[in-house]
Amino acid sequence: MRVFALYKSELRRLLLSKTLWAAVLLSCVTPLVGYAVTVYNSGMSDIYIRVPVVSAALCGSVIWAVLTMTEAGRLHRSGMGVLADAAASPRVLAVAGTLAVLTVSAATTVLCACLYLPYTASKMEYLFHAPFYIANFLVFVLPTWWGAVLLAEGIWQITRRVELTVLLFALPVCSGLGSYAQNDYFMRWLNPRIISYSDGFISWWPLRMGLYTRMIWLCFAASVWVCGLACMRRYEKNLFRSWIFGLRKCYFMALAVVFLLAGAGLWTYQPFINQEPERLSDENTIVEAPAMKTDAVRYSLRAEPLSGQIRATAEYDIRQPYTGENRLLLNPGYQIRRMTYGKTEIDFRTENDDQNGVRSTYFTLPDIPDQTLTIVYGGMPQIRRPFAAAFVDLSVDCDYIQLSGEAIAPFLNIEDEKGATLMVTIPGHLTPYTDHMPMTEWETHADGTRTWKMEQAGYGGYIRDFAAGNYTTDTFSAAGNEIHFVYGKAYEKPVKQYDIQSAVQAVFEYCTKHYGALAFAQDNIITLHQVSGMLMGGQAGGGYVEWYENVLSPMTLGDTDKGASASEVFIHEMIHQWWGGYGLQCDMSDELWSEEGLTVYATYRLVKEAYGEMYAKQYYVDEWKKAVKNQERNFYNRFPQYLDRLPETYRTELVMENNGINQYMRMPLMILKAQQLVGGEEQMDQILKKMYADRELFYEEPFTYQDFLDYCGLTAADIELDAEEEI
Amino acid sequence: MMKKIFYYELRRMMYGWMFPILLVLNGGYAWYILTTDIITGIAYTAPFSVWSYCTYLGKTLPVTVTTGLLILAGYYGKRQKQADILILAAPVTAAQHLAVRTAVAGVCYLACCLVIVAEAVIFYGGFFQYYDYAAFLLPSCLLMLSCFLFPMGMGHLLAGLHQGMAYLFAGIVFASGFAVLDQGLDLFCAGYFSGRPLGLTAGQGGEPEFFIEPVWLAARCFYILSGAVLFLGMLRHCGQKQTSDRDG
Repeated sequence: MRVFALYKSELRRLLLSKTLWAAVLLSCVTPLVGYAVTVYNSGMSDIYIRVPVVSAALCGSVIWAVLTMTEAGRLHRSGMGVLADAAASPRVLAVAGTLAVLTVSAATTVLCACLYLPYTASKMEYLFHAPFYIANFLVFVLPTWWGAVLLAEGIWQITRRVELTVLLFALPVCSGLGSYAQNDYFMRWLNPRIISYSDGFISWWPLRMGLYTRMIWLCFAASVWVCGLACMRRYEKNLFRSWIFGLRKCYFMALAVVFLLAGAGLWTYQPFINQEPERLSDENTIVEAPAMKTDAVRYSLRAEPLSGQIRATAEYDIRQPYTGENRLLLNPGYQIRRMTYGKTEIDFRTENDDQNGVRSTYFTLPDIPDQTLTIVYGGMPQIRRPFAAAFVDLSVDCDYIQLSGEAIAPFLNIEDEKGATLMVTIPGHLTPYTDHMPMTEWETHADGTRTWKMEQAGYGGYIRDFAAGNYTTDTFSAAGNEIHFVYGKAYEKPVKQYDIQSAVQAVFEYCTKHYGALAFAQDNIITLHQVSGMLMGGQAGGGYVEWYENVLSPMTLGDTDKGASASEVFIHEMIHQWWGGYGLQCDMSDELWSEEGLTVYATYRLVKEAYGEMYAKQYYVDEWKKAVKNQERNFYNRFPQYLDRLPETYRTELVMENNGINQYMRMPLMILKAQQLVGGEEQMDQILKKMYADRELFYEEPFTYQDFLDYCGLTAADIELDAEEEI
Repeated sequence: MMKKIFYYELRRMMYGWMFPILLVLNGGYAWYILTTDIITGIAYTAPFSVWSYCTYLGKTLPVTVTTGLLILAGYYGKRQKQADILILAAPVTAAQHLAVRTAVAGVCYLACCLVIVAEAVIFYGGFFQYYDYAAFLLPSCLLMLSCFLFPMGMGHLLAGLHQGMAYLFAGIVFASGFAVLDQGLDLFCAGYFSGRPLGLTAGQGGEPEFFIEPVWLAARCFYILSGAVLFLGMLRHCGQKQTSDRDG
């Protein structure tokens, strides 16, 4: 009661303070800082929600921390501390004061969200999603401000010195803002890490992750705050003596420890990212046990978007079991709840051996033929640690579900002659695709969900990819192919407005004219499949092209000055139908040579034809030269003997950066040099056309760098880039 | 007498609990910068190139300068002003006392700088077996001197008006350390040293040779001179104020 009465009076007093209103005003201005930040290749949600919210969280935290420090020392600065301490317990007074600041900061968060809502809604138009917008402020801004307030108050109570509080507060601020924490979801407590947002397929994954990390830091901040309360100065004693005195109320320190352990526990056992090493492993995860023959394989999945989890069952009708130790692989986020063989319960053990996105479970089957092995599993799919900072490729959300491989079903070494059946129950408004093929609608349920079915012929029961979204499909023809253009319903307007259909047709016609007719469309059908912006890129396979959502963003389509933009990623992925696994297969064992180089070169040529030489030079050739030049200048590339001094994280980063530059920059530059040596663009087109025509010769042994040189009649030395003169 | 006061003030600072904490903070932050930023090499140069080393200084000096400013601001606190009545009675002028306090803040700043430099030496020696530091001397001295004199002069001026202004200035100086200006005109120049090599042609060793640009040198001279002028102005102002206080 005493706390509540003091809280009311503290709140009243605070509301009369000019400093508070200055803080509120400044906090309301903080999202504007975000509008000044340039965000490349991003969607509307990134520009109008993500960046303003992160800047509000960051700048606002500093403002509220400063206000807290000012308020904390107010009584003592004015010389009223002794009187106030006589009237009320200093500890209760501090608690009431902190609660008052927390209350005002919460109200400011809501005010801030409401203030920018009309502007954001008007800018994003049909892509605006009010609950998502509000949730961003509540998840990222409010807990971050609260964390800053608790931390600042706690430190001040411990030190009782403004300058020391500033410095000690600056320490975690710097560590959260430093380059070391740049790609770390957990270290970034003031400026939350959000890779990207999707406009058309709202994803709650970043908010779940954000809320989780905010909880961790709130626990840490609360621990410092409670510790500060325990160190409250009594009877003019110093810090240590006051703390000893405060130990009489030992529950304060106990509570601080509980908060600290809770934060550490949440950090250690986080459910979002798996535990595999940062560095990519060459170790294969293929199951070594002999394959078991099966009559049928059935997978049944139910998505639970509210919790971001799936519940699933896998059933294998096994003709003859392998009675040695079997090993199955599953996404590390899933737990196997039960395993039965016929009517027998099977014991199993799961190892913490996360590698390449999977975790192993071992079990032994009894020697009884013709029984059904049933595995009941479920949980939240975990994304892979090495790629966690780059994209989110596994998520179960209300508007979008993306799963692949062992995040769909366990991988077990089986021979499924009759193929696998997949039944998926998802929210009714989503349309699912399995391995980029549409599924058949099976059943509608009373709760608004629908079950879809897919029968897939023999990949050992392995389902590569599953995606479901609020999709619509346009069908049209391009260069003799039937195109199934699958995109989010939210994008119906820009698809019509910008005549995307003609753009797709232009790409197919260009490639058909320069490299030959597309050979690997499945029944001459190509599915162009839009994927969530959370995936950051695209890919292509036999008869399908996955493309990045922001290609259709009004920002991308409306900006004619943009460089090699998202829409060119779209072109790039479509060109992979000619240069890639299902067109000409390239030997990827050479660190320099890959189909990416040919595709980037072809994209450059198409862009040059479409937008002119100046544009292509500026955004392609000059960029390649710059990247290759920097690669060659890099100290660790010049002196690889020093590489072992680098921590593993940086070494991995460097290796990945070098691979990217070699494939996407150096090789196109070398092909460009080859083009000059063979006599020009026309001659190079003839060579590329012949390479594509001969693609069947390279199904067994993929097309190598030497093959390319032979087709061009050149040697490796001819097209090697000379450091300064070429670059 | 001056010497005695200086040693007294210095002991008071060194044996207090604030400076050792600040020193440890400086050291910890410097090591963090070395092992996370500098180790990768700045602008593709070696981690032990002069460019990388100066970037390191540019990133760590904001904390060091803030330390100096906090020490300085402490001299303008309410308690200190109460003690000033007694100090005025001592046989040293207010200007001399100001000089002594600045010298104490300078020694503290120097101690922090020594820790930073020592860590760099340990890091370069331990990680890369690099020991040739001759080329580091001139830019280090210019950078450290300008980063001390200008903030101290300005700090004295602002703290003289109000103690809160000195804290605000310390905050601004700290925040300016994160600026990514590449012209070499800002105080700490971390952005300049990490951006400038990218526009230069690589030399014989595969990376651009370090050189002092006239603009950068001019900026350093400006900071050093204006800091000195501000400081001398404050000394003079103190002298005049003390005379008018006595006369009044």
